[in-house]
Amino acid sequence: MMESQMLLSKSWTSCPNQLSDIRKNMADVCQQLYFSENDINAIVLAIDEACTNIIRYAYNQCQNGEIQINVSTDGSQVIFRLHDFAKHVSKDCLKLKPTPDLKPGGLGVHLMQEVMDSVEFIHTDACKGNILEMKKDLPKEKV
Amino acid sequence: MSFDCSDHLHYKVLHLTGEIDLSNSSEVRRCLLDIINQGNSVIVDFSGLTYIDSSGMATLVEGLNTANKKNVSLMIAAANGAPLQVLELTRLNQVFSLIDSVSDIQE
Repeated sequence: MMESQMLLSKSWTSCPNQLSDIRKNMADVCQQLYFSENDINAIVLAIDEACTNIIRYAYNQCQNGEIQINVSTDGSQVIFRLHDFAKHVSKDCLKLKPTPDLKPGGLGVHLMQEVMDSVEFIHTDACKGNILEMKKDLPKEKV
Repeated sequence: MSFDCSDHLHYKVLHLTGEIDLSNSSEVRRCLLDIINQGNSVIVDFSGLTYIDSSGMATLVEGLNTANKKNVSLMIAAANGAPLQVLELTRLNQVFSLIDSVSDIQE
């Protein structure tokens, strides 16, 4: 397995108006990795949903927080690490509802889990805030 | 993102253009619920929509629930590309009535 290669490391403020630029940056990285258009749409959506949750729930809509996104690859997967510097959030917020229902909430987590191959929080005592790590297998023909 | 409203037969048509996300979905929500609460059936036209996130989809779900309570209908027209993918990923394509275009609705 190859060493991890950093593809992007960039920070944005926790302002909803930044989401469009985050999506553009994520789409650019995914294009470099030869994902299909459908996969790029889905991955961009999953990252957008994660950032939306950070803005809404970690920063509680406060717009001067920081969202740092590191994108790397180990040769078999692309790894997205979203780091916020807000209070710790419960890992339970990534749990899916037992049954889909027709309610407006909870769609974002469902989308992240549906699109990515793994979604998990990495909590370290040394690190302020929360790190959400999402991994997606690279397209087979390009691995 | 921009939106405007027109009439088609006895339907109000809400045309959505551009990208809907957390930064603007509340504007769409206000407009959609206003239309429905006035007792109108509505077609949400996705033909100019390039992106919608879960906050936008939640707005549509709320609109559909409100429409059901008011005994009016809510349909989505011309979903394609990324917005259609979101409908499929959330399986809301099985919940909403989807039509190919606004002109599919005829008297």
